[in-house]
Amino acid sequence: MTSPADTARDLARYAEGMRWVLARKDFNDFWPIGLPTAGTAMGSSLVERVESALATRSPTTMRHPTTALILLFFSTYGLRSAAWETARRMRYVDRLLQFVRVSKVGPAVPLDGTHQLVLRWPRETIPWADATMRLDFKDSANRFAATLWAYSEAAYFCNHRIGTERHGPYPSDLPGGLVTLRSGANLTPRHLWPEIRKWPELPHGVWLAFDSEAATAPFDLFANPLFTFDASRTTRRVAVCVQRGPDEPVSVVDDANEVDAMTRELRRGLAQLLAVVDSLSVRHRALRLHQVMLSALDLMVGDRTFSNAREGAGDPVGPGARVEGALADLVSYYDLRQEFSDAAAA
Amino acid sequence: MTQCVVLQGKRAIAASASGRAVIVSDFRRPIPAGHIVVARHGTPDVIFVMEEAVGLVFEAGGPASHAAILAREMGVACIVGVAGLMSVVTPNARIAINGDSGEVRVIHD
Repeated sequence: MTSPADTARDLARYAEGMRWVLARKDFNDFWPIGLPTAGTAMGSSLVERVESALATRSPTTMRHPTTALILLFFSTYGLRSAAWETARRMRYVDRLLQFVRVSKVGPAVPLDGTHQLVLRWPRETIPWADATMRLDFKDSANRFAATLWAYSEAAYFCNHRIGTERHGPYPSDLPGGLVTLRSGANLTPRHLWPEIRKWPELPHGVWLAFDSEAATAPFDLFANPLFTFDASRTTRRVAVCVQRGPDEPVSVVDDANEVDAMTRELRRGLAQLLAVVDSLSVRHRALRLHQVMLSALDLMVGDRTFSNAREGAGDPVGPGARVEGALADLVSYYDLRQEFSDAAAA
Repeated sequence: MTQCVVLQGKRAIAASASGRAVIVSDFRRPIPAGHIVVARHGTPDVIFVMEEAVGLVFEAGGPASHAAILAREMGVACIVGVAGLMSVVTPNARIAINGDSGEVRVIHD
């Protein structure tokens, strides 16, 4: 059971983390934050739908808890446009944070840079490739991990970690090492991108583990790895696993050529996808973001109920302007503490 | 006459590199191998030039930007947040990037 003080604490950490993220993001051109142009779809109807969906559900452990933080991030506009009273806003934020709390080791929004998940590979079962592995396999795994991240950033308009999650660090059983994992799922979100008939031949899920000889491996608020070491040079061991289909077993990939083939497929998908994104107006990107957010809600509740219901996407366009501006304005805009100041004080 | 301009940015990765500049506005177009990519900012499609480039320099962004995260995973030298970069660099200028200090030297022959 969490108290208003717990939520206020997490919101304070969220605001600090957001300030840090916004100060370092290159969002101005790529982020389609034209939320008001989507009308109520990204405003009141979104937050009301999320609120309704989560009201009767107990928080469950998520493989990708950053999904809930992303949903919180893109609920900011809706929370304001819906003009809820403070207590209702507080409940909304707390429900989302509860999903994060039960999915992570440590606080929902840590300030120490770790992003350790409850659901992960047990260290002893990670199928490390041969410790004397060939350099080409290690390089292939790093290229694949980077491409996976770029792909999911584009697929979800920077709402990464809906499809992939980089997490850790976890202790290594080798001296002086840190293990980080990157897991990916839902790599062919056809329900979000009907324009692309031919998606790459990607597996249902992928898991990569990296054992690096490094001092620290911090993560930002949205689980971006912020280590400053050269990942490709300090990696000592890697493991690559795939699940071909939802009902198929997880298999180990130990052939660099096979990893390279998956990388090529991902890059082919990325190129296709970016062409579609380029063709969308700000409003259409914002409306697509609405679908992405409903897909995030699906992940939280465990079915496709919400992303299959598209009625919200046709709502009238609101009068608002594109949310953009100087860093100070953006930091202020995403600082939800102002929404809860009276509740926290109480 | 050789002219050297020193700019300061933020390192994305502790790696240094040098080479000739190629100014890129569309990362989906091929670039010549062995060059330093110079751009205003990086988006996820910067991955398409990372295997040909020996280094990356961006006028905007920070250590959590797309390009920085990708550079770390790919092991490519990268400096971000270099104010004034685009007004200083011309195509084929010599560039040296220092992954320890975040310094970018732009040399026009």
